[in-house]
Amino acid sequence: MTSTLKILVVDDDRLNRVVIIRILRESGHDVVEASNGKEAIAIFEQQQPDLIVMDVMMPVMDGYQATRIIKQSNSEQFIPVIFLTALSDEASLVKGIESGGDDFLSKPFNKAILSAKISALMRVKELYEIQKQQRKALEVYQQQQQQEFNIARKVFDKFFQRSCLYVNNIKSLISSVALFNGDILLASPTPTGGLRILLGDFTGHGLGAAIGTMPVADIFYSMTEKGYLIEDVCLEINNKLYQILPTELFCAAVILEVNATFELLSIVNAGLPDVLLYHNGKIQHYVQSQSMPLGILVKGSSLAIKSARFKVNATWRVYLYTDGIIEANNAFNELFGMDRFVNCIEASTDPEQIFDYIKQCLDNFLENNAQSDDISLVEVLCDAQQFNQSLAARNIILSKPPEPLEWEFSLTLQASSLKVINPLPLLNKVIIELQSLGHRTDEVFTILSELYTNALHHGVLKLDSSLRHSVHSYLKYYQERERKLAHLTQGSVFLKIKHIPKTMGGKLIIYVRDSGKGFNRQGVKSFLRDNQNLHGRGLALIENLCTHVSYLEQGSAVQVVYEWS
Amino acid sequence: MTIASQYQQQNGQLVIQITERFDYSTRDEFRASYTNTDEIPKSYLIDLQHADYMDSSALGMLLLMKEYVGNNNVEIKIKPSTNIHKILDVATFQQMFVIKSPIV
Repeated sequence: MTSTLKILVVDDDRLNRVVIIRILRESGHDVVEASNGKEAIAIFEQQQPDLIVMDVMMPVMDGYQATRIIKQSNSEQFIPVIFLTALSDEASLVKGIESGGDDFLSKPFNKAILSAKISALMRVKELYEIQKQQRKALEVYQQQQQQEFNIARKVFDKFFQRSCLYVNNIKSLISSVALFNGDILLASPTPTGGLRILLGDFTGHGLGAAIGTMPVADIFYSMTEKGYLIEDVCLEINNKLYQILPTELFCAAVILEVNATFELLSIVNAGLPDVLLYHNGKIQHYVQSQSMPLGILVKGSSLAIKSARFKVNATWRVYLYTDGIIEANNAFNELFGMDRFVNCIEASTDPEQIFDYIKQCLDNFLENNAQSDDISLVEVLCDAQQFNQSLAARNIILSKPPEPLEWEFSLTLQASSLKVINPLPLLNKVIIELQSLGHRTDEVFTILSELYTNALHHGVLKLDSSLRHSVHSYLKYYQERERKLAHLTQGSVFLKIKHIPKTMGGKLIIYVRDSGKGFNRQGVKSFLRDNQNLHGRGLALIENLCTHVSYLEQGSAVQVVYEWS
Repeated sequence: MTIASQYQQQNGQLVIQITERFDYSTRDEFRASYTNTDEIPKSYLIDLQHADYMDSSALGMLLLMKEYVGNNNVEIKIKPSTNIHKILDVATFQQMFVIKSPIV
């Protein structure tokens, strides 16, 4: 025993005390003494010894009770108590342990045994102290973390307040700790009166995943407000995440948009499970992921983002979810799975109840194997009326009533501009500022975007449409687009947009001319009949939306007339 | 041990076989399987035919491996099980890895 301890010796027999005290002093310890239990308690409080050697039978208060009192009133510390007993007395050994004794010593007192027992108990005490400190440190750490969590929570809540998830046509299930699971759900009205939603799922958990949600939300809201298309929003999120996140972190996401009339649904699925479009008791479309999750590919590489579009009406429902629901595990280690999920949706007789029914199915399936923290599920009913009423209830007015004006502007982009500028968001913005077209703005954007894309891809870049035959070569098409655009030295696109007011509404004339050789519309038409799928759809869409479409200058220019009222 | 790797002398391919689950828990083991090699492999084959589960952090781990291997001429081939093939497909990883069709 090298370190000096302060030891309290309690015995009513003076001779015993003297013997023990001598042994302890010889071992280098400080000793204080008491002659009964009551005195022991008083001296203990005063002197705070490290260890107690305690006799059992004493006047005034016996050793058992004194030990019990000392141990109880000092439960935060470990104070070893060695009882002095006769070895033969089993009952008093048991009573000694019960009252809180840690060891026993019997007469005659042996110096070596007493020192060994003291050392052993001090080792226990030391472990106890270490554990106590660690527990304390852990508690402090936990408190700190909870505080930081609360602060982060507040910041994030403020950040996500812009979301319009309160509208009646959206139902969502997203765990309250989802933030730190890396799931994110955003919703915003579009400047033209439609609705846009993003559901994202970051790899990993915790703060690392949560950090990425901030720029995603920022980009989503600001670009949506400025009238950018969902493809552009996706690309920008991808570029930002690529820039800031480490390689293994990325975000699988779906962005969907319904236009102001809630008739046209556009979906970009980048790495999330199939988006389900429900109508008339059945899933009508499974919208598969067509591109890499966001944040993996460097800007300008082969990331091809293209939205899928669907005609819908107020009875269509869209289901967005992360893989948590499919991979939910029950006590038997079974997965909830896609089949069960689809069955839940299709089995409901009342479409209004589907969402609750899925939740119920999931609860029944998981029973007590609660894991719902990882589950994010969103239902969007494509009902403009419910949406607009919810917004109106909150006094949110989106678009001014349209008032037809007369205006005209044109824009010419030369090769060097074509390389770096996407004029579509700019044109959208100009048109929104000049002319509120009310619910029709989306259609105009669609027309403009198709016309410009055609002019750039086929007129200027001379890309081969047939490359878009299959999903596989589709990718090649976009790689080719990037490559040719990067090396572009010649070519131009000229756009002229003119608006003529009528008594009710107005007439928009859009003229687009490119520097290319033109094309044979008849050839494209017959091609469209044969192949309904991947390309050439743009022209059909334009012809559908516009009252007049004419191809001029051997097909290198096109003029369309769009009428609204 | 759910990950085993073997360097094949005759074709210079490092075969990494993963069974059971391919997820965050196998992160260090997976990384070690391609970083602790004596030879520099000419190509890699990740055999996931006997793995029944893969999560998104495993996708991230594949990206880290791709980054480590660096050179785009070095092929990383993946042989998935049917389940895992779906996951790779959703993430359109065929753009970055050579993914073989699962044997049904």
